[in-house]
Parts: sequence; structure tokens; C-alpha cells
Amino acid sequence: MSEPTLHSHATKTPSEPASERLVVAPAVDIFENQDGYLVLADLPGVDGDAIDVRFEEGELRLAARRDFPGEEGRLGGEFRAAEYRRVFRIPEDVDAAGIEAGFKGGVLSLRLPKSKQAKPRKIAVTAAKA
Amino acid sequence: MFQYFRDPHDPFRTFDLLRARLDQALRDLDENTARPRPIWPRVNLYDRGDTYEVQAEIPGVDEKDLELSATGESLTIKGERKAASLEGYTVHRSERGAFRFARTVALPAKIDVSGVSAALKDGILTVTLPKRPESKPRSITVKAQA
Repeated sequence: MSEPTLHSHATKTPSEPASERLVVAPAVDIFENQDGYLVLADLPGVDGDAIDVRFEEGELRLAARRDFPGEEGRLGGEFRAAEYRRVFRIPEDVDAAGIEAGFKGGVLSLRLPKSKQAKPRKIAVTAAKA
Repeated sequence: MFQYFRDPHDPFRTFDLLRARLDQALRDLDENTARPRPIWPRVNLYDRGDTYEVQAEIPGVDEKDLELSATGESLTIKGERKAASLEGYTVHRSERGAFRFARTVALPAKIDVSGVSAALKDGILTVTLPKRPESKPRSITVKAQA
């Protein structure tokens, strides 16, 4: 098994306390191809506007808030309001300016293109005559 | 337990015991790895007065891959979360998974099956189940007796 290139780890809230909300590290999938990386994160119940993706100091910080209207009439349950947080250390070959994010069906998708010089190049081999 | 002590001089006693323990350990390991999500989806149940409301967290599930069925006193959510079709990608981390799921929620009182409706938004499924007339709340006036 090869060492993953794009590391991620769950994180504590960096500055402000997250009130009574549960802080959750969302489940993620990380893929890579020759053009870049693709990160998928499960953020059910989050409004698209409540997602904050930041790139600073070589880290991609993902933060999202899930509001939950009214506890009235709750008979039982397994989820409620939450703060989603996760931080990824980005490899140096990512072109930070080109990061794109999309959100559909409760799943956030982040595309991190590789910078041009990091893409694989075909290197011609010149055979030396013996 | 006692079977291992039937013959204290049996030289294979220890091996039998060892094998039994290894088998158990392997069964435990298999159960842990085969079911990484013991509860999926997670659900909430609300009493909204005239209706019950069931919410379920199903990020990444298409409405086409959902199958809901209701009986008078329960709701079953079945479906499949399909993997994104990604060709030519190397997988670095895979926590989300693609799988089939099914969950049944028992309701506290009878519902009107024909009036059940469901909506899916941002990965949360909300099912509204109207109560039958006899299950609806009724306010009871208390008469003070002189």
C-alpha cells in the first residue's frame, strides 16, 4: 500500500468555540489522477452557503455548519445541529488558485488541480551508442 | 469450558483451546471489518401534532435509488448509495463507501399510509406521515367540580 499523498486529519475548532454544536469530522474520499486531486465529503443537511473552504498556509480547511430548526416534538433521534470540520495538508503540487468546489445532494466535491510543472512529463531517453 | 478438562493428560488439549480462541478472534475481526457502518442512515423522529416526521441522513443518495414503504405503524427506507464513477483515479482514502442500506422506523401510533409524502434536500430525506384521526391529539377540557 502506498503512502497517501494528500493527508487529512480531524481537527479541533481553531478559534471560536463551537457553542453546543457537535463538532464532526465528515467522512471523505480522496482520489488522485494525473490532472489533480478530488475530495468528496459527506455534509448532509448543510446549506450550500454555510460551507467555508479556505486555503491557507498549505492547508485546506473545510468548515460547515448544519442548523437544525426546532427540537420541539422530537421523540428520538440520532443526529442534530453540527459543525463539520476537517483539515487537509495539501501537497505542494496543487495549484491553489485553481481549486474548485461544488455541492450536491449533501456531498461536497473539491477539485484540486495540479500545477503545470507537477504534471507528469514524458522524458525522452536517448540511447547512447556503445 | 469443561470439554478441555475431560482428560488432563490429553496433549492436544492446549491446541484445541488455542484453535477455539483463534477462531473466535477471527470471527470478531471479520465482523468488525465487514460492517464499518452499523447504523446507516441515521434517523430522527418528530411528532408534529397531526403528523409524524422522519428525517434520515443520506448524503450522496440519488432519489432514483431510494425506495420507501410505509405500513400503518412503520416506515422502511431502503436504497443504495452508488460510488461516483471515477475512471483513471487512484484512491487515497475511502471513508464514504458505496453500499445498500435499509432501515425501519417504528411509529408510535397508526398513520394514514395513503397520505405519506417525502422530500430530499441536501442529503436529508424528510418523510411526513399523517396520523390517523384516532391518533391525532385531542384537547380535553377539565371541568372543575364544585
